[in-house]
Amino acid sequence: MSETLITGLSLGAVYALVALGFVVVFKASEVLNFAHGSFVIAGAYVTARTHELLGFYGAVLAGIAAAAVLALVVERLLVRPIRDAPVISLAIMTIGVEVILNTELIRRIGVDIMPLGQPWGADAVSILGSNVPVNRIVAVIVAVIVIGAFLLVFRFSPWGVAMRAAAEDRETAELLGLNLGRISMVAWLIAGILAGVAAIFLTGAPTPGLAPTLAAVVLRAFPAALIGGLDSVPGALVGGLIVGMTEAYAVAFQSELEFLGRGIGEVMPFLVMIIVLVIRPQGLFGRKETARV
Amino acid sequence: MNNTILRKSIALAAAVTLAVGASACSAKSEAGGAAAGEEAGAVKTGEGISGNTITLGLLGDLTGPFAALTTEENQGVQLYWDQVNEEGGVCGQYTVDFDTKDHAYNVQNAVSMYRQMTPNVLAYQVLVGGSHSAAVLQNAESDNRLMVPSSATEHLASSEVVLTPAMLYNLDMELVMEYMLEQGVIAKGDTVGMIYLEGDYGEAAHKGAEAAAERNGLTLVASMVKPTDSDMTAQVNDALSKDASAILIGSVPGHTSSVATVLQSAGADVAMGGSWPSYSSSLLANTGGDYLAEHFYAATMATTLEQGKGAEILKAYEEQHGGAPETNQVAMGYGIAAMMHQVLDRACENGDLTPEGVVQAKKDLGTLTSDGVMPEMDYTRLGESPTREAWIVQLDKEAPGGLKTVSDGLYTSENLSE
Repeated sequence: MSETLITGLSLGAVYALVALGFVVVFKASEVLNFAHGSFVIAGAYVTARTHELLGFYGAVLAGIAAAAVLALVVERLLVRPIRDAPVISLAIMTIGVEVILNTELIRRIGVDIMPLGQPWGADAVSILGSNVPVNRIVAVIVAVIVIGAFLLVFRFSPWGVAMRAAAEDRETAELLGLNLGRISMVAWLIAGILAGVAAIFLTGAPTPGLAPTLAAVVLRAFPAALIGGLDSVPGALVGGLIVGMTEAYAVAFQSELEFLGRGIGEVMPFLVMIIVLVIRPQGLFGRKETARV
Repeated sequence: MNNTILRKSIALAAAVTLAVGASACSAKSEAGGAAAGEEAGAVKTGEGISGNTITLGLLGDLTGPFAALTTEENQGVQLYWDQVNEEGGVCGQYTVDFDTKDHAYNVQNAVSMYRQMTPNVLAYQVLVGGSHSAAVLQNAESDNRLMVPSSATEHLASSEVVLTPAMLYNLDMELVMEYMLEQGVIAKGDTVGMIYLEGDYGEAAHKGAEAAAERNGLTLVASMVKPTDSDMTAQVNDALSKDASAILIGSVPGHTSSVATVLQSAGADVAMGGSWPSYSSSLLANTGGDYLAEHFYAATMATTLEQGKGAEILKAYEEQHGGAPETNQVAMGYGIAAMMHQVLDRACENGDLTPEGVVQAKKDLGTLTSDGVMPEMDYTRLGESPTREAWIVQLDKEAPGGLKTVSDGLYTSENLSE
């Protein structure tokens, strides 16, 4: 059972990385970035393509850089020019970007399931009598470090302070001379980096490598963001863990849950999302709506 | 942040997330094309032939879970017909060309692409996917389009317009299990795990596994999975906790790879057996590849490339593509093209190369051969497996196409279900 717990924690940590990127972008630029999933796939793709040439760690840096640059390009070229458009138009535009990027990436992945060359491969260690893939453990450790670093930046750096101020009240922040454009740019860049890191673990053992199905896996990070609260950084972390745990336990108990139908693990994150939204429309940690009279 | 924006955003995000997460469902269609008969020389032609060019349809999955298999099958088809075209074409008169489309393993796409393609194709040389072929079957029957489905379900094999290119999935799984039993890889009375894909392919493989299990006193621990699942840990652990001596796979190659990865991680020494669409030799490069090379058995309906006719196909392929293929689906494509060639030649001899004439030629011939590339296929008994033989293979990095035959030639077992 400890394996299910670690699988859940590990998946949760990786979903949290993806959800965090989604939330940061939303806070900084009020864009629901549905193209976020394709940043993950782009990162994985570049890592997979370059790991023989650059070695695994070099390829990881290349993958992260690629995801970050892609995020930046989308922000500069597509989002910025229409940033005053209604939030719905911006969101739908990102869905378009997602479809285009994914189609091209999946076409490039083509006939292969691409290995990313993780040096830990299918290695496993025994924890409390269960075999846990090393990939799962490295994922938790790296995610904790990356998220910790992000929280420090978010809390103490000038960018973090400025971003929180801007998320609080854009007009006032702008009047105070904060550069909203730069805040948004840095947020997209960070989202890209987080996506690139998540990619390494979503394609590691026990998954065989980068396959077109990664798009469906990444999709489960979106309910994580909504469960936690779309505008809440801690919410993204908690939401990620909830989705990861739910999925791991639903899969582990799937034979017991069979009366609910097959494939319950895949549906569970969405069910939890609906339940949370019905009870707390703003998500678990989202800002409560206030009615101004 | 402005509350209205936040509220709208949450609603929008929830709606989109749900919409994208929801799975698509299949649809029925009604289409048909009136054949426009035309006399060209002594041979009657209709839709699918323009001048001296016959167009065959290749409707497959070039970007989805079966991308690896479709791409090389298409290349094998192309290789065969290139040679025929060079030698003068079908009955020395018609060259063969293709209309290639990608349904990305989406049934709805397959149906609409079928409608689009049908007026221009004489027959479907490749139509990937069991559900996809089933979805267009009724139309194919009314449109008289002979099709080779890359799939082998009983339902498809019951139709006059279908050239099932393989042993039915249930028998295929049974055959692999019988071989593993004969070799002592699994023993009577063992517990055996099985992972099978939702839909008719996986379910047929499961049915075969059940039949072989019952016959041999095996206990089967089965789990159904979806094409989008990527991690087989829970299913494998379930089987291991019941002391399974082997895990059978009636699913996509990614799942086979994940099963091997989990088994390798667990330090297990458990055999694996797979249906013919469950593997691709590119899996050897992935995590778990070494485990597969040692532990995985499957059947192939087309010769491996290190032996007999396979070696000739390999040579021709290397000349055309500058390297060896990743799988032996090239041989499969070559074999089904050879069978289609026989049918088209017969239709031409009969003086009727219309879609109806092609279906009639297939009925006339009954049994088709492919010069040793595939076993002899008997299509006279609708609904039954066209063959009960196959080559048993293991994955091998050194072998061309990544497969080596381990059975002594074509393998069959008298124990297979009727």
